[in-house]
Amino acid sequence: MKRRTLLHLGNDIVDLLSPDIQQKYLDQRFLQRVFTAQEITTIQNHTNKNQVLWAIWAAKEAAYKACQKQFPALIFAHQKFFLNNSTLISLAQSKEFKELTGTLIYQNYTINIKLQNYSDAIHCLAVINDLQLPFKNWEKIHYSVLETYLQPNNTNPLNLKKYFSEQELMSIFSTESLLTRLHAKQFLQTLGFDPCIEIIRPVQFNHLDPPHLVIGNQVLTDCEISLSHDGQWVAVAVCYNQANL
Amino acid sequence: MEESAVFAKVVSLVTPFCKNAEVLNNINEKTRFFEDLNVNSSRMVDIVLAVEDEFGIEVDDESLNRIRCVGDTVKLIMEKI
Repeated sequence: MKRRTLLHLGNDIVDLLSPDIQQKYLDQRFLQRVFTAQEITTIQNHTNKNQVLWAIWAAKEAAYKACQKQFPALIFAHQKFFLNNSTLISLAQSKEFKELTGTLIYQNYTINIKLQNYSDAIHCLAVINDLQLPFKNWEKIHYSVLETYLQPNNTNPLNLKKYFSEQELMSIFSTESLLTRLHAKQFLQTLGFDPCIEIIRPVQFNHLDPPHLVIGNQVLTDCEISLSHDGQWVAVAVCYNQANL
Repeated sequence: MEESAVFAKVVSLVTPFCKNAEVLNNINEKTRFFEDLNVNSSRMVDIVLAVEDEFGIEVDDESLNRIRCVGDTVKLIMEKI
């Protein structure tokens, strides 16, 4: 599939109330595996260590998702995706950020990020463009973050599956994923997309490719979509009409 | 160490990170971390660190990225021990 997008989009959400991730800043092995020395210092010196840790994590994940669209064989080596110094300083100086834009570096690529704090969740958007230009058109990135308040075990997936085609269902493996896709489709309709739009994630060599949008049998090559879910939260980010960016 | 013993140990390491009891009861070498066990990427890091500690091995990022299922983990460990 030949893509005509000018930029590539990623997003990641972290449920800060998930019991698995509390006080992760005490896990030295995890810190040293994932974060650079400067990032660890920023985390350890902050008054809200857990929030900052997962903010940097979400930035790395979102950046990787964006870069993976440009470089499909990309390996996710967490430490090789790192926040640049000015972004780390901004994070360090904000006691409780609401929104923060900055950049993340991977090799000689610069990825633009936008972090948002929902108190119980952290969301990050990431954009990499082919021309390596600074990205300022965040208003062109449409996104929606939702706390589901649902217990996945109590959600009847059979009722929800009726909203998806067979091809879509081939890459949906959990109730959380189902809820994310449902939210994404509802969001796309609010943006004016055709209700028949499909969100497809091809399965290649036993792994899932990033999602793309399809209407009929036509792939929307000038649209970017990114999905994320964690705990009670789902998130979707979309970019289209990229000639206007 | 026999492969079956490695498999059993991997299952014990994975179990705390997976909440789906039904899938855990039927876990086998083809069980996939993401699709079947619903393990997210940060939990995957935890699992790999637990494997490193248990078996005294190092798992580099390239190897971590290739792990899709329980069998991949067992195979990696057998190559390194």
